[in-house]
Amino acid sequence: MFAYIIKRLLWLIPVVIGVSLILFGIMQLVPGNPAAIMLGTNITPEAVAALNEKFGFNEPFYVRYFLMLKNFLTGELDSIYYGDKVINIIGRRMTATIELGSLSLIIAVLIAIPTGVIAAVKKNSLFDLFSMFIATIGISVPAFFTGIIFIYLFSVYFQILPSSGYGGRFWTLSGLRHLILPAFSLSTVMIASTSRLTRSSMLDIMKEDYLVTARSKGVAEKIIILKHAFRNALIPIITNIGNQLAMMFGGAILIESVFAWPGVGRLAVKAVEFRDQPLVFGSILILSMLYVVVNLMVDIIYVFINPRISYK
Amino acid sequence: MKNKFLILLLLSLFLFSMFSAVQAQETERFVMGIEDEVSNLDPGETTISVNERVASLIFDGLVEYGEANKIVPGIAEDWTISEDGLEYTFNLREGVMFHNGQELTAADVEYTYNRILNPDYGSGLRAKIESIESIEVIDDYTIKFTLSEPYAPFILAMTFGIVPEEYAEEVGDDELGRNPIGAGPFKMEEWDAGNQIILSAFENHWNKVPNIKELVIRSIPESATQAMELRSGGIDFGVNLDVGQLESFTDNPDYQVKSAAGAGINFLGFNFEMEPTHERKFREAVLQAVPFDQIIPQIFGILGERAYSMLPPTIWPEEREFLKENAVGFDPQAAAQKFEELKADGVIPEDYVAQIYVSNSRPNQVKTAEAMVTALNQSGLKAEVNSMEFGTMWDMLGRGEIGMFFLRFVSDPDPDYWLYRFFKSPDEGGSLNRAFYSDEEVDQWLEEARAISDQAKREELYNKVLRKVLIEDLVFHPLAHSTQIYVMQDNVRELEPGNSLLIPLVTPTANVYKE
Repeated sequence: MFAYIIKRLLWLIPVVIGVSLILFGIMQLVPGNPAAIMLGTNITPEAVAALNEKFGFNEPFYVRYFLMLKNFLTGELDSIYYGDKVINIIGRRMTATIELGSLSLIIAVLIAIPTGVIAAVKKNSLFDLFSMFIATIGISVPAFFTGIIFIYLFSVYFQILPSSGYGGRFWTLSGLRHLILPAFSLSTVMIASTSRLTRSSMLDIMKEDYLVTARSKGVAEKIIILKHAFRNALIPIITNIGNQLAMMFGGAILIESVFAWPGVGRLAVKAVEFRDQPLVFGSILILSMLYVVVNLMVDIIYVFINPRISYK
Repeated sequence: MKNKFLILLLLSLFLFSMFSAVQAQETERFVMGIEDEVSNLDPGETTISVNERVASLIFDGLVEYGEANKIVPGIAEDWTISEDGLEYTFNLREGVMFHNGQELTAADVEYTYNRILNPDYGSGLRAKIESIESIEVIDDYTIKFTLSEPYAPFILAMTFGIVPEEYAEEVGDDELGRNPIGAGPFKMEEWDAGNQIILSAFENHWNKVPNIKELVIRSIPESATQAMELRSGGIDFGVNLDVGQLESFTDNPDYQVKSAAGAGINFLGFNFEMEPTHERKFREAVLQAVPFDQIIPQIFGILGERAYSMLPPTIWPEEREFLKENAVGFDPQAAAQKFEELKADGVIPEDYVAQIYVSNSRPNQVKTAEAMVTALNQSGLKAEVNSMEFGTMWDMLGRGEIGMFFLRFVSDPDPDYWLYRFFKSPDEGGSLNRAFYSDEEVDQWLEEARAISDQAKREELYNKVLRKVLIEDLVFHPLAHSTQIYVMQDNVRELEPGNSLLIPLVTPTANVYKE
């Protein structure tokens, strides 16, 4: 197992090289010069030339690539637009993103999995029909729309929660209060898809012969559902949750905009808008590395859920 | 049982505290929403509008903008300009303090301007003070700027925020941009990047101690969210609301909505080095084909006023009436006929489809472009909208690859900043001349107007330029002056929209407070 984890982590090296090459290539192809965009209406040929020199855009591309990669690995990469280390900027934003992503995940799992299991066990009941109807709406309605409705209800109408912004770390009262609405909005889509997946996965499993055997042996229904059926149904659910979590780390750009949440999604968009090449480079690389790590975590969790899976 | 009761009690207490009403507003705390995120507060680098506006609260300049954008004394008590317009001598006030307790002296002023002049620093502000030949510190409170040639708008550059030399040297440019220390009415308390900036009143300010003791500047990109924040009392003041959101505030007695002519101009431009846009007949036909007088008010609503001049109403010279009367009017038949003739002459190729470029971050311009395409198609010219991300479009414009384009421009209140950059020949200083327009007479007028200080004479020259480029040559077609709209809670006092490059919380004429 340990060797497996090491092996998987070693895969990060080709991922970083591959992603950085592709990324750097694309950045060269995208039109737009950061100096020209930064200067805006104050643009003069001299000022553009001075900034190009200052940011090293006059070097040949391979020199710039290696310099950028080296600076990234040593944490020395500087953002053009923010005039700060890329690692500091992303670090600050990542906290906000992780807080938002984690709470939405917890909410989603706590609501979606029980709903899915009950809906499957009581198939075609009123609960099943109603919850799956809500889930279909949840998938179809964009999260930012849900967000605006939530703001209107809880901030404007009832006036019990702040409408937007980051209120500090989640363990402070202000932080938690600011976190609730965006987390619930972000979790809606995840709740919808996870509960539907849980239901269908449970329904598949419940047809299996070993459950019939268990029942005929007189095993309590509660144990059949939770221990035998649910555990086996978990694999696709975990995969789905893992994918969604990785996407959340990439930043929920729409939710971040609606709630003025200072996460990495908005940062990455800003970076591209300003052609802030070091920041684009750094943030996308870090995100792709996170993606690899999350996938690895999902694979490790499989072992605990299903002992038949093992990595040697 | 006892345990359950205790848990229930604690839980309800917790929930009660969580969902208690949104905190009551204190009168000394002022929260405002701005549309974008602040990235850097170094006053030498603030060429990005939000940065510039926030930096203007932290830094003060030698002079300031007063009412109607008149230049009034700031850190400089008074100044003299030599007869030939080459020497500017400023007398600084004594005892002006920076936020760190050091006194502001002429050496700091010299340092500030030399820093921007240094070509390696790459400041976009450099072009505004290029004419400086030398800066001389006469004593602690007197400084003299000598110009290489007379430059009338020079005094506007004296609004640049003065930075403390010792601090700037010690921490470097990047740190100055993150932890700014100036001599302005507010000082930096806390910067939560991407979320909010908290400033506090600077009690030792040379002129006015702000009534607002704590100023929270929050970046709220979504207009709908800004509107909700205003409704829930989360912010006291919001700027940059969309037309849709604004309507619900205008008739509501709980809010004040104030508007003023803004500094921005939205316009349509043509490329003089491309076919067929370099033909005057073609440009005229395009303008005749589109009912701009009808579509602009519909699309811009209260956010814009139909423009006939490149200069906003807040800037002299007042030439709008003439320009309005002589602007190309809507005449679809004439347009259709001209397009026919141009096609017959081969100026418009058989398979020509006019591409109209517009930045997708300007929804009102996109809508105008769409309406324009419909009108052009009706007049017999095939056209389509090419709505793209601004950085890409800006790059293509710089390389002269775009024939027809929409742009928006904002600058300081002197015609030189506007007309010189747009209409001076590209290789002679017309840094924003994306039309690649070149005319000897215009070049000469522009050059002359910046060198003299007699306003009446300058006015005459700028009128000539405007008539020539807008009426005779149809280089650009002005569409709408953007209107500045402030929405605020009804207890906010003395907050008036004016110069859109500033946030007018503490100005020579106002000191905003809450009742």
